[in-house]
Amino acid sequence: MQLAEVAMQLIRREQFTHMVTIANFETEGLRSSFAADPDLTVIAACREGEGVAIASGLAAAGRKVVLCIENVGFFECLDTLRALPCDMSIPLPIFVGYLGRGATYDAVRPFAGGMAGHVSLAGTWTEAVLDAASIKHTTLLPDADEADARTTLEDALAADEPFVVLVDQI
Amino acid sequence: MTQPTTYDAVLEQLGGLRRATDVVVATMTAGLIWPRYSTNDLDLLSMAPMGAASSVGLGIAVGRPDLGVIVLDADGSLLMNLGSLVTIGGQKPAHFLHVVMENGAYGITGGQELPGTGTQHVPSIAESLGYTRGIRWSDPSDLSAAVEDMHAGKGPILLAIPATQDVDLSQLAGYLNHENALRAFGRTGFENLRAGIQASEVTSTG
Repeated sequence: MQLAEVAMQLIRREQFTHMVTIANFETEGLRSSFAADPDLTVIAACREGEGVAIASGLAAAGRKVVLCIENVGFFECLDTLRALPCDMSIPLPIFVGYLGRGATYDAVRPFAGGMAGHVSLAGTWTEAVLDAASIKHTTLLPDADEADARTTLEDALAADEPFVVLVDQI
Repeated sequence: MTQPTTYDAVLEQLGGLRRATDVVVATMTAGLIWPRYSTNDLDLLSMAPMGAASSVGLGIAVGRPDLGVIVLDADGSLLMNLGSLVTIGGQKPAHFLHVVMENGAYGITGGQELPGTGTQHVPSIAESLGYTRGIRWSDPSDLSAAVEDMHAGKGPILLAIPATQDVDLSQLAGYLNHENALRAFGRTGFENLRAGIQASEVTSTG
């Protein structure tokens, strides 16, 4: 079973209602699955900090929300994460596309051109920044065992605070 | 040209117009003053991060479309989250009033001028992005009409109000420790708001 299918099973079971998303490649499968369900609502935001604030408002209104962004956008929204879901203990599973995981400048330069240094930097910063901010996180790879993936996702969806799931693709 | 009003005049008037079931998300200078005029558990004083109030308000309006949502924003704050106008215009929350207090400066950090021409064209920009109306305040009847239209589900509406800064920041502790502020700030404010919304009976969105 694909990761997105497992995630959607659990999202429905746990009665999530909304996804807030900022355009990214890595979580597109989950976004499209969520959008295809008539009982669920996707809200596209312009920027990650804005998306975190919308998700916080939805939580204040009693809704259950997941957020989908990529790691370079995660860096952008740190202040909003700090001030809203972290400081106010808002439950918020966050699927973060792990742009640049394991990448090196030399390896990606032929493909990414001018983006190469940027991509490598994102991979280097991601977990270090999450650790510094004391945000719970885990990595879920496409070849993860289904039972392990289910456990990881259950933990993220049940957390009573922000919980980041780093994904190459879902 | 419209003469600026004051924050106190606007918020006192709004205190009389606001229904008990309306959520108010107030930020920056308006967030400091609003507790003088409200004791409602559906208030959230959203002081951090700067610029997020409109988006928090949007989330509430989408999550509970039956409730009125009034965002007391400011020109400097709005410029830090200008994309929120696009998202709000796209979502079209019908019971949403976006009040933008304009003093042309970052009042909370000492009065530094806004970049460029500030937000003087924001009402027309908001309309172009999907708000049903963008209004520049000319007298108190504009606020009354905007609140009435918001209650009637004619939003999202943006009302820009030129206003002079009338907060003495040397007295900041007094504002923050106001009895009505303490229940609406930060985590306590968020928890009170969430409980208050949960306690509000869901009604037809009309």
